[in-house]
Amino acid sequence: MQQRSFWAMGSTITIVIDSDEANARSAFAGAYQTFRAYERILSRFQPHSDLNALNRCAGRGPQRVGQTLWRALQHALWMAYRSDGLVTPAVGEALHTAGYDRDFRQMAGISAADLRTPSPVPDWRLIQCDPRRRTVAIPAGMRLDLGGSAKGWTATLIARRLGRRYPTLVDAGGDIALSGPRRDGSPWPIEVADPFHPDRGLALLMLRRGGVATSGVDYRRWLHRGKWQHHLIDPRTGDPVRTDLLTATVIAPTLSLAEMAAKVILILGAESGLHWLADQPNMAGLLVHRDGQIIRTPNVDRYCWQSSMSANR
Amino acid sequence: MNQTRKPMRADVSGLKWAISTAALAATIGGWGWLTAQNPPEVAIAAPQIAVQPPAVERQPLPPWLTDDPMLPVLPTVVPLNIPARDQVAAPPPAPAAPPPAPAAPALREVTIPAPAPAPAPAARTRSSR
Repeated sequence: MQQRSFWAMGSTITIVIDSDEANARSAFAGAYQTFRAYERILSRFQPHSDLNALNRCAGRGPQRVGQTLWRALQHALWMAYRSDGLVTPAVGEALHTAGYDRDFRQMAGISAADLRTPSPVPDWRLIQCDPRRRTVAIPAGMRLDLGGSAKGWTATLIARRLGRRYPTLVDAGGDIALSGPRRDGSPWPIEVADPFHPDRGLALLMLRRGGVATSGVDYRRWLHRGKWQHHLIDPRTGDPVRTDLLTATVIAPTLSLAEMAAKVILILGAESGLHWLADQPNMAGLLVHRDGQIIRTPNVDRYCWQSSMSANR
Repeated sequence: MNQTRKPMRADVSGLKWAISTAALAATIGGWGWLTAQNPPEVAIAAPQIAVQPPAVERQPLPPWLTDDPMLPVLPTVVPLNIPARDQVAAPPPAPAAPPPAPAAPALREVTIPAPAPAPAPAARTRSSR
């Protein structure tokens, strides 16, 4: 088992490869370079990124974009479609309005950006894409943000790429993609952190493939003109989410789906979120209420470690 | 038509009373006489038997009696050649029998494995860090 960690896309990225081969080092190097390259293209906080170049052309008609931005944007639009627009790449302006205008590490918990009145996020269906010419047109006033979506997409890509040679786990700041079971066929043990006691675990999941993601308002918060804000925007209001949940963890066939589902549940709240999740195939959820109550969907126990569980289950 | 008249009978009720009283008196008198003819000498003549308490000699129990009995392991009974349901006449309703006593299980030593410790997590999922 080999492991490397680095900082990219505003998060700590950890890659675990279940192999003792010495040449796995090149796999780590390749993964690191891919993350950094994609960050330069997809980040909202890098002035010269392809994404910012596209944002500056809002309202100016179709703009030809590179292959990576095209694919990342198509992925984000697919998630917007799957979530009925609750998880949308069109939240860039709303995040800026809430004060999230630079890398979180540089904010030090405080934002001095101008406080403006939030307004509903523009409809993601106004983004026009031409696959033949690979052009994207965004309306005036819209600003794209691929933040978590791009991170999850890249992690899934790396896990799939390295997984052709080694069993791989990619941990992108707490959102985890798996290439498949470990060398001996056993599942990967993944702990769900307790938001009230970060050094403790709520559950130990045993996953072979797919992904697990947690969204929450317990971290990535900042004080903006005397008002606490966080990075999850409700596109219906344009304001940071007001939810009865503290965190939502979702297990899904892919990390991208898990991340999207966790955000949807957090935006909808516990009751509506659980109803929504019940309609999603092959997903399980573990929610933590603000009052400390823990809500598990019935199928989440299938993935939880039990003392009677054999190693090869 | 001529009617025949029964002849008048003589009154004999006094005679009946006299005969009954005499018979009763003879019976009672006979009982008294018989009782007087059987004195209690018969019971007095019965021999007296002296019952001596038995002498009990306590001996140590043989070892086969003090050892735990060897209970044989009962084999599981498997019904064979069970006839089809339609070939069997319905038996008369039997009275409710008490449940059969469970066979004494064969005792053997069982080692209960200790619960496996939880594996160390390879990663932790939490809100984006």
